[in-house]
Amino acid sequence: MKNCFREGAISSEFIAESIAKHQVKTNIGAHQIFLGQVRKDEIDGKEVTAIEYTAHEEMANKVFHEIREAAFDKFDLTCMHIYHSLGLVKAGEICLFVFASSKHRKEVQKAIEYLVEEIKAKVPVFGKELFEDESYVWKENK
Amino acid sequence: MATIEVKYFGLIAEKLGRESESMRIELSENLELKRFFENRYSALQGMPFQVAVNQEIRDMIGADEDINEIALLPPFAGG
Repeated sequence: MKNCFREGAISSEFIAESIAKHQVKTNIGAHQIFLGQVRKDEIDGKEVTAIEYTAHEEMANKVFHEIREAAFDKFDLTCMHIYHSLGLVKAGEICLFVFASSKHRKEVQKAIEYLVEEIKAKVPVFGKELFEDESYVWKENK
Repeated sequence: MATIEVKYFGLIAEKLGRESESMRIELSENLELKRFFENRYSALQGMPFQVAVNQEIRDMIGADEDINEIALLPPFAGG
């Protein structure tokens, strides 16, 4: 099973390299990328400085795999990659990178929306929103 | 009685003060998992959580199931 997790933030260099790797796949005509970024939310007058992610890693990788398979069935995709952070990701840094490629734009547009909604709803990832004074709250996807 | 590895995550691990334990569970037909764990740990009452059996979300289990792992999962926060 592929490991979709990366320790810490997903760097812009990593994202750029992923894009560059697809230049050899010349049957692709459209890429769509979703980047989740840690937001500096204000909760009860305190600002979020980072999110610390944990997960049921084995189950999460299994669910990522199922979501990938379902997306390949539903949409005409050439390739697809999902990366999610574990550990500490500071406000402003990237914690989720979803990358879908196809011959044509409409398929990837639909696929990315599907993938992101599925990931948020089904993957057992947990997040602590940390404040400057070292207090925290547990984040919950709406 | 079956001995099952029970794993706790996020807020649940924090409330229970542990990340996993071996638990002897009397498996019975249509055992409601959430109720079972709420009865076991009063700290779980009123908390939102889902239960995964062998890494699949389930509400109930049966008497004859082969269970390696149960996981208690608080609300997801990925993305």
